[in-house]
Amino acid sequence: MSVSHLDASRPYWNMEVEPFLDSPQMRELQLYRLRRHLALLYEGAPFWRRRMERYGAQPSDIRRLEDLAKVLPPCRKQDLREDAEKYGTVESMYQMVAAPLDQLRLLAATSGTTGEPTPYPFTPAGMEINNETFARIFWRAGIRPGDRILHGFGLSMFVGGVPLVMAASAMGACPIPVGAEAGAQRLLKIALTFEPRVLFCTPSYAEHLIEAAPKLIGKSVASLGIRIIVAGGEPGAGLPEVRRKIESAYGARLFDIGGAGGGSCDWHEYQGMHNVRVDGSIIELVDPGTDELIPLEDGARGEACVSTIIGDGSMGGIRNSLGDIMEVTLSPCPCGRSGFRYRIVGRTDDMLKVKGTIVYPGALDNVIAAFYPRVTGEFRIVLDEPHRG
Amino acid sequence: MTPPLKLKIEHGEGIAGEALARLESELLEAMRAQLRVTPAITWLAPNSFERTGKKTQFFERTYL
Ligand SMILES: [Zn+2]
Repeated sequence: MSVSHLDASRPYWNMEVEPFLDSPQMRELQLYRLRRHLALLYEGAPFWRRRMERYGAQPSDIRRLEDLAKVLPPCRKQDLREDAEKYGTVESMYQMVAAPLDQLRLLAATSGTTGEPTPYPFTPAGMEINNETFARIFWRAGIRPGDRILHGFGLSMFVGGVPLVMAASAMGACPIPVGAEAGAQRLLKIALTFEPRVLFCTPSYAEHLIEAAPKLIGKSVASLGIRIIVAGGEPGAGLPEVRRKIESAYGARLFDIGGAGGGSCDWHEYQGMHNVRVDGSIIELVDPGTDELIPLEDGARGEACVSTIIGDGSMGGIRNSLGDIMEVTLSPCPCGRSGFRYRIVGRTDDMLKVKGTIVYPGALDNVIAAFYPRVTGEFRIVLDEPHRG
Repeated sequence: MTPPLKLKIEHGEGIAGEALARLESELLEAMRAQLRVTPAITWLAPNSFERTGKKTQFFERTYL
């Protein structure tokens, strides 16, 4: 069946799975897939085998989902960095994936604020997961086959770059891969020429285009005809004031996307991101200081650890922490769509403690953005010394 | 970290003098009320920070 024959008004991209993301059977499926996936990594991915051996863990130790946190600690950037230093970046990367070396099809990376890039290798199995996840997120945002998408995320190595272009194309949409690197002028000129209905970019870039458009093309962003903005990569797309500013300036709906398989819904007020990949990943919350598991209940907040339980390891491993502090909401969303919700409230390494008060940069962003246009929305926190917690 | 929290913020086009002073006192009041912090603000002209389209860097580190 070709994509164009599917009913464009259906609520979900994947009608066989997405309606059931909140069902009790999903936990059974997660357990089955987790056990199967751990066995696959143990056999085929030396990095994960070493990790399991170091902590005396065996795939067969997992009898219930709760057992995972008992046998393996969170895997943080520091762990990946240490392994990369020991084995070399390329070797260490290959050893995380249970697939032959010739299966690598695309390589992205995060630069991080300090140090070496963290590689994101894509195998065919990884791409399939990436495509499916973003098809679900894009569909919920209202993107349909044939929609022209102006791609304004950075294209150079960025996970939100080429991998997102490929995912959009795979679901039948038509991305225009201009990239943030091309600059605001080119991006806006191409928007005028090709009349995209959708814009992909970071929230701060969307804000920047609001200021830049009148100067660069003599028109406001409202005149571009963009109806959907998919933003992510930073907290702005989840902050009420930033959302208000962007949505009103463009006359578009803003959707927030996140690395853990999350996308925000169409409800008029931001409800967090729905986890659209409950069937393919397990999200746990831990205390960033003690690694202790925080029960997943309404309002629970902690460092997010994500275990990807499908594919071959190329889309993420077991209990991977990207350093995000997440707050979850398990009650049904007013929008009626499936998948429990989460918000990224900050990052473990961005958490600032000022006289005992915890401050996240995203919260500062929100307060400052409320003063637009008396401020541009851009700011920096000046650190005279390293901070930690 | 050692207080105060230091922020560099871009003011909007044409905001200066009295208007900037008013903006600062309103912003400080909002920060106090919502976040319980009183930062020290350095104001910068619009477009002082580079717009890269990549992940925003919230921090400017003065140490090595
Ligand atoms: Zn919703």
